[in-house]
Amino acid sequence: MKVYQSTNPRWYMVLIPMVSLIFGCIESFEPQTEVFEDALVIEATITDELKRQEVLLTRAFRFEEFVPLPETNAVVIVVDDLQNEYVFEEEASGKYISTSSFGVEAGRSYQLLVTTSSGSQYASDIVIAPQPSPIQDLSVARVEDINEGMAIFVEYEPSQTSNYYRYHYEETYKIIPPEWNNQMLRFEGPALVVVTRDREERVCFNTNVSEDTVLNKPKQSNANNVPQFQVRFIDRDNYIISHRYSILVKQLAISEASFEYLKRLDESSGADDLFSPSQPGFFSGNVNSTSNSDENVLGFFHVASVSSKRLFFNYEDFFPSEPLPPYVDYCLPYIPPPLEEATSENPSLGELVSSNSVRYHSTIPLTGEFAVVPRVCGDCTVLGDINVPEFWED
Amino acid sequence: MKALVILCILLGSFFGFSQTQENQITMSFENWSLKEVVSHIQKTTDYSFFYVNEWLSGDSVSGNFDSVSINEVLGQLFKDTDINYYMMEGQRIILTRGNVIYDKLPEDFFVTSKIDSIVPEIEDDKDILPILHKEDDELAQKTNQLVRIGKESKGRLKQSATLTGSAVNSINGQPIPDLAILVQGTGKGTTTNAQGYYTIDLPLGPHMIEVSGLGIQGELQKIILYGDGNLDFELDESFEMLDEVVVKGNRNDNIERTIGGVLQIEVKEIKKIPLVLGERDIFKVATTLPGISTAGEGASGYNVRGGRADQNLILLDHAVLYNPSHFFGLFSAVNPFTSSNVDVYKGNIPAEFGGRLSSVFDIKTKDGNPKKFSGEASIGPVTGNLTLEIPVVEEKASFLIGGRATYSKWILRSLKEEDLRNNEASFFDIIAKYNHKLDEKNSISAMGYYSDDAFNITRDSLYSYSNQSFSIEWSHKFNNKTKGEFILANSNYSFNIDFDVDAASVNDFKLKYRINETLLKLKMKYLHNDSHNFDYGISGKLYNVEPGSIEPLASETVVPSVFIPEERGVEAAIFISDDFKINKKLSVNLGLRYSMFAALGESIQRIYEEGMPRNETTLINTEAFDKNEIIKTYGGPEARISTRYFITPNTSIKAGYNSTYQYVHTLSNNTTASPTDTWKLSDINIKPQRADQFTLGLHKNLNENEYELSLEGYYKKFDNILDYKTGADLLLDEAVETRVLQGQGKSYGVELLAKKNNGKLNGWLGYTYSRSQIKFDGATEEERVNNGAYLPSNFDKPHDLSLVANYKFSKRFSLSTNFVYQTGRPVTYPVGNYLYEGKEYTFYTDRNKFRIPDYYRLDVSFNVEGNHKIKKFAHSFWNISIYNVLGRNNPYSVFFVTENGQIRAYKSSIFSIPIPTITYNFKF
Repeated sequence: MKVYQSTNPRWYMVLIPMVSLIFGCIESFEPQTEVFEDALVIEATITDELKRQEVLLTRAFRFEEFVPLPETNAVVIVVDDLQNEYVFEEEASGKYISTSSFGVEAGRSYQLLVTTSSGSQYASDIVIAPQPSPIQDLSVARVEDINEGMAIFVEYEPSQTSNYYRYHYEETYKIIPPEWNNQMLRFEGPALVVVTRDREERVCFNTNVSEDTVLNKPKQSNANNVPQFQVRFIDRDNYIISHRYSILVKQLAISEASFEYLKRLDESSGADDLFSPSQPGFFSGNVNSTSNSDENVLGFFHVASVSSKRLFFNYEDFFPSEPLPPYVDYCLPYIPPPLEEATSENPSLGELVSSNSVRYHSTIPLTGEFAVVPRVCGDCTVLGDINVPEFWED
Repeated sequence: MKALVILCILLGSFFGFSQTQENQITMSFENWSLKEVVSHIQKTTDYSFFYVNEWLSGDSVSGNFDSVSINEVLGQLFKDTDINYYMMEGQRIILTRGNVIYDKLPEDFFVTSKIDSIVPEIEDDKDILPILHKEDDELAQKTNQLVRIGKESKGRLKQSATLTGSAVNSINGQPIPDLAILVQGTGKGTTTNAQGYYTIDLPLGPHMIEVSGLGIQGELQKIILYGDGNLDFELDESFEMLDEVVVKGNRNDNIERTIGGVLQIEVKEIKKIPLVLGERDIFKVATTLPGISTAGEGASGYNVRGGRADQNLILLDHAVLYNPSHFFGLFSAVNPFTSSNVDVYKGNIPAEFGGRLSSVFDIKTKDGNPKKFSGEASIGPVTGNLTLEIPVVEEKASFLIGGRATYSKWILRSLKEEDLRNNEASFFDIIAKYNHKLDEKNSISAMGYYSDDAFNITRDSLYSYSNQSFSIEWSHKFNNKTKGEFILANSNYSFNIDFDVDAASVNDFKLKYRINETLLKLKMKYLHNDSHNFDYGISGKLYNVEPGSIEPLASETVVPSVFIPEERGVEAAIFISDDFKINKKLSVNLGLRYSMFAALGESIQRIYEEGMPRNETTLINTEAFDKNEIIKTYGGPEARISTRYFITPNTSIKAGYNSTYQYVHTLSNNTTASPTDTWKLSDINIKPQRADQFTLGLHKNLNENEYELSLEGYYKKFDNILDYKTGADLLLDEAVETRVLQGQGKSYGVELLAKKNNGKLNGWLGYTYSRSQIKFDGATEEERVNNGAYLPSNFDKPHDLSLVANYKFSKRFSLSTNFVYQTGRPVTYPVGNYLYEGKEYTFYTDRNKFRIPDYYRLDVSFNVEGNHKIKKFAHSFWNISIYNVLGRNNPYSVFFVTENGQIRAYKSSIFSIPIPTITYNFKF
């Protein structure tokens, strides 16, 4: 035995391929869709808001493709239990808008009917419009759970427990670039001079729309505490809360089926353990083909009751005399090289000013050189819009 | 030489016998040797004797005769010996020995003949002596020396005699069970029992006895049966023999055994199957047999007749082995060197076993050699293996210890490649067994086992798992008819995941899981009579499960610590079975087991709205239970019934019905069993699984058992089988019931096995057509899969073909091949993407609608035996194998993951090129 335990280079001949096989057995590859199944995708949430409701129809697409094809020239109708028909017309490719404004009424039931240009017919389950369940209140608190930051909560009243809610939000925040000053560089002939700014670039606003699927079913809590739910958490290092922040939370009361569908859809996109993957499957929504029972249909016809509330807060109210969150850039001033030393990686000041890439910072007293900062540090319009939103309250 | 002389005399005087006139003898003696008596008679009468001195030494006799015939005296004298006498004209008496086996037979070797022997009527006996001598010459090469058994008896009261005996392994003195004893030309045969004994009734006269067994050098023994007698065999192991059955030790067993769906794997013979990475593997052999398959290459877990991988009870000397594999199933966790044989019950499960739905793998560790120190070792590219057998009390007690370990750790460390160096993939296992025969009635054996695996999948996570078990068995013989076994066994399985990115990272954590069970079992065997054979007993099992915890490793951490409270449960059963031989053709095995499970506190159980899918939104209440308070009990009778009928002496038909309950389940959202599958006890929300199986089989042996054919069909129905909801992550979820579904399943199939047991070319061909389907048809969409229709299970592989063939060129060189073909397993294929509310999702087909490509693989191995000189210190054996000769890139799985909003596709295959290995084994 001893003979074989000693180092024998020949073992490597066997072992190296073996080891790399065992460890290299998972590889990424470009899939070709061998068995593409075309499917209609229905994206529809009709609400109790009186408006022209919207239904989006697209097709599933192959892995090799990047964008879905719209389903055009379809006949889209929503029918209620009183046999009222709400006809939709195609406003843009695949985007169908009801010809008249309407909002769903609580307790009424609704069904979506689609007939594609190829003649295939689809019908959703009949969905009962939920009772309105207006958003009670929003609150904000500085929390230190895992990470420190600001949490925005929806407050419920006891009667709202056991309902199913979905949340969308729009957050708007004030941006003030840290190195703004009221001077700027301008060409006068071939020379650059410092002049007073001619543009408003100090205060801007930006708005983000929620992307995640936020779902909740509030539960009765034992104590008399008002049940609440965190719809949004912003890390304290996120610059969006640096000055004043506002969030509009839109609460959709939805059916249990809608809730479960969205939840499962959200979970299905998670990452798996690479070595032993979980096995996903098709899960259907509430729309089925009436002309071909074997055909799978994607998407869901949601019916919801909507309400919304807005909340504002300032950073300094929660983090008094604490440093602001780091800005998107370090904003270190620097002196660009003279023209003769400039390279494409390190361009000269003239080029930087021409290309609107920097803002004036200061003038070096003895040499008269100009120090600049990246544009984003002195120009808020890189990140936002200088127009104050209509709803904004300072 | 003397014997020969006498034989010649006998031959010459064959026709010369007649009743002689008798002189009356009067004599009295005490404690004389036979020789003294004989010479006394010779002196005092006219009789003269011809004999070999040695025959008459030893025994001392006493007697008192008064005017009796010589016949009476001699009859009395030789009554308790194997000596026959012949009276010839001229008052010559020739003594012959009726039974010669070996020169060194034990004293108590000879069996008493019940009828006094007198001068035989040889004229009538046409089949006796002379004929044999001619044949002897031709058969000399392969047969042992002629053996005469029993004594001629006068009067031909019996036309047949009973031959009994035992078989022991000449190397280690161990009894050889399940050895086939066949009598050529008569269609008669029997097998040795567990203690190596056999009994068979045969017509008087010459016979050619053929003994054969797995791993045993077969022998042909020519005998002449004169009367009841004993024939023992001391047999060599067939280290090099390829003309042996690989799967069955017992040739007739396949047609004779009452219960159907039993496979026996003789571990010694596994080396004949081509190996991957030089490792012998019991389970790999099992998967070449019909009805047993794996989820994929390198996937741990076995699917037996359409059952899930958690439905197999894998017992190592009574203790459950929760994870029977090393390294994702590439290697078996059962050391082939220390195992003696494996019984796999896939059809009718004996009533003494329970708790799993689909099969029992009953693995027995061999007893150490109580006579001499011996051992076996093997060196392969991945592992080294050493087994030692140490006598403790000569002939009574012995100790066996076997260990196996990878040297991959050392090899990986010594590699220059940085990527590989930091990897870890290692395992070891160690087993020890002590057995002691206390006295004729009592024996004990104790076994301890430990296995450990560690590997990383990604650089920063270390997975490790280990099995740990021990068992003690005390068997006691109450009397000749009643035997009891008292068994205590404990098994523990645990796994850990250490996530350790860098030194003291905030993300580091350790995840733990553990299950422990303790078994107490009393099993009684009662042999009522020839037609009733009862087994009965009770068993109880206590489970303790620690479903998991996550502990952050760093003091400053972002990992929340998780602790899921312990689960406890008790499983108890009583069982009885009767192997009832109704007549020579028909036998029935009636078994009944009543099992019961109680989930015990302390625990907090979650109560959900009735009739609603269980999820956090339908949770209405929680109920707390105190320590050891009964939370919920389940139970029911399990029938184990089978019957066998011989249509012809070589053809039997078997039918059976089998029902089983299972109270522990694996929770797995993986396609294949992985070491991180957790076992969950039944509780308020998770019901026990149940299965019913109906089987019908036809078994036929041809050409004196050279060929075995069997055709078995089954239909199996499952209830409450668990599967996961789409996308569920089951590890460390306190409310696992919200993640799983319980539904129905059915599987059915036809299994064909054709074996050629000997000859230069031997092996077997197994083919199975089977289907395995499951159905989840709950009240809501969430509880339905594929709209509530039956769908193929993950291991539904309709066609499964295995061919194992061995060809022996000479005693030293042989070639083995193994070909496997399977329908690709079902897979849920991503068929496209779609955009929903601005996000891209992958769109999958109905679950398991498609299949991965078919699997096929050819392996070849070449075996070289070392020189076969007996005196050599060690007997060696080289095995050169090529796994996957065709280089088939068999995909193990294809899967798709959403990463950063983009769909990424992965495929995995374990061995896509031919893998050569060389292994060296030696025995000493």
